[in-house]
Amino acid sequence: MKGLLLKDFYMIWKQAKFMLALVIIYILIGVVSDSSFWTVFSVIFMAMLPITALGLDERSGWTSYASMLPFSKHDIVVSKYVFGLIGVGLSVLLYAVLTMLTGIVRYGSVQIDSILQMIMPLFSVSFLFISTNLPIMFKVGVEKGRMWYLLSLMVIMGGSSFIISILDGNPGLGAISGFLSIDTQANQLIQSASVLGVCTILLLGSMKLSINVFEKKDL
Amino acid sequence: MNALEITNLTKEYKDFKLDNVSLRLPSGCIMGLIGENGAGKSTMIKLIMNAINRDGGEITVLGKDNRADFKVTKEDIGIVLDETGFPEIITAKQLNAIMKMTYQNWEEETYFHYIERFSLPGKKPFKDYSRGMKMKLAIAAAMSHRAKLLVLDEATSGLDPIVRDEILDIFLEFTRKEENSILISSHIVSDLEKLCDYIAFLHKGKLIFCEEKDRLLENYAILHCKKTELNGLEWSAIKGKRENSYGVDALVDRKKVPRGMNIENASIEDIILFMVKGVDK
Repeated sequence: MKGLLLKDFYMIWKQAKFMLALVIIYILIGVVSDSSFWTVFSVIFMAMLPITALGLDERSGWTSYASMLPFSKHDIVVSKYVFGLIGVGLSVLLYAVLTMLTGIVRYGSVQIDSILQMIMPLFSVSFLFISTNLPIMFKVGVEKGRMWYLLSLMVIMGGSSFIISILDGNPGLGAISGFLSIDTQANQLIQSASVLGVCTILLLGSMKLSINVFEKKDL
Repeated sequence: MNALEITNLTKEYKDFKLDNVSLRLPSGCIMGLIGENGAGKSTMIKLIMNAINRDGGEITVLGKDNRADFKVTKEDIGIVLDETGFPEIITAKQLNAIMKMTYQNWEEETYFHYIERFSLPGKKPFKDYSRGMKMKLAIAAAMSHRAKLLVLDEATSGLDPIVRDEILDIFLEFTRKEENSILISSHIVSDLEKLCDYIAFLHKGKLIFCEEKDRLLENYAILHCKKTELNGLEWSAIKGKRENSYGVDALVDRKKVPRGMNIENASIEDIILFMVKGVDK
């Protein structure tokens, strides 16, 4: 599987510098403007990496070729999930570092609490995005799956920004926060961890589904 | 041992059926798979490599069922596809790094020896390669991990005659090792005639014959005669015919033709062309 990941890395590398610059800009906009939308977008942007790689594979015929190398179809699927998780991990790490740095500059201290509070929802949203997209992409291909991809992007982006705003205790959404009983930081952490747990299970289920789909597919 | 054994292989699509194909490739031999576009050559290669699911039949590669732990068997198979399958942005050097992490027996030295021999640029992206260069890179990759079986789909197409000849020699060199075998599909019948011990001919998804090349050349001949003379022959002696203003040219079973008739040796290309006509009628 290392060979598959290295191949994906080489394919993305040329665009990676530009993508990383964009991710840093999105995160900075999010951190400076206290808008979770941009932070979420930066993480989803990186969660799209396996879809981009899959699209390039389809175009070059790599998927068919790779299935004839000493890889199983299982390896090919898992490598795409791992590639996505590496991208997500990198963007969350960047978020943490940039938030720390801006915290020092703006407040003279590191805002550990707000970073921790944000990390779990970020992972949850990206897991949700990967989980809902990759099985479709493995089933119908990136070209045909584009509509689904755009739809899920809009729904997940909009929904997650809304929920994160609630978790952030956005004053304008106080009534909903009250309804959801999100009143203490401890509660928020428990709820974020629960959501992350559910999204992780969803991710594992999605991977199993993708493996089943891909094993039945003629390449 | 047979390098490849296919029994009653069937795969059906909406508009095409690979129909009940059976063949055997003994170890140490080269088999050429011939057929027109859409005859089922690539489908058969994909089935052999278990990249697509079959509707029926059995496939054994290097003595093992290709559905049982095939990942291990694939270590011993070198593959070259018509469309090569390498990502556009990859360079020959990067491909070496990828393959090093893919094949346990990857031989970097052998790979770069081929890269040099084929005069391939190490740092140029794959998308800037000519068709011939792409095939050479795929061949270099297939030959650099101590494979025991090469599966080559149109590996010589797009190459100029000099390089093609050089590559055919490399393939012949490969099968000098008794355990090494090759299955090669091609449109270029002359290449296969030069290279192969066995010829398998696929036509519209059906295997018309799978025979030792020398036996084919021994058994068949081209008969030039008048139509009335041809009608006097046993019908099973005639495998295909072509009428012209001077008479008839027919592919015949040499043993069933009376002495004294005007026959000449048939090439593999003759045999295939006549048989296609025979089958289609």
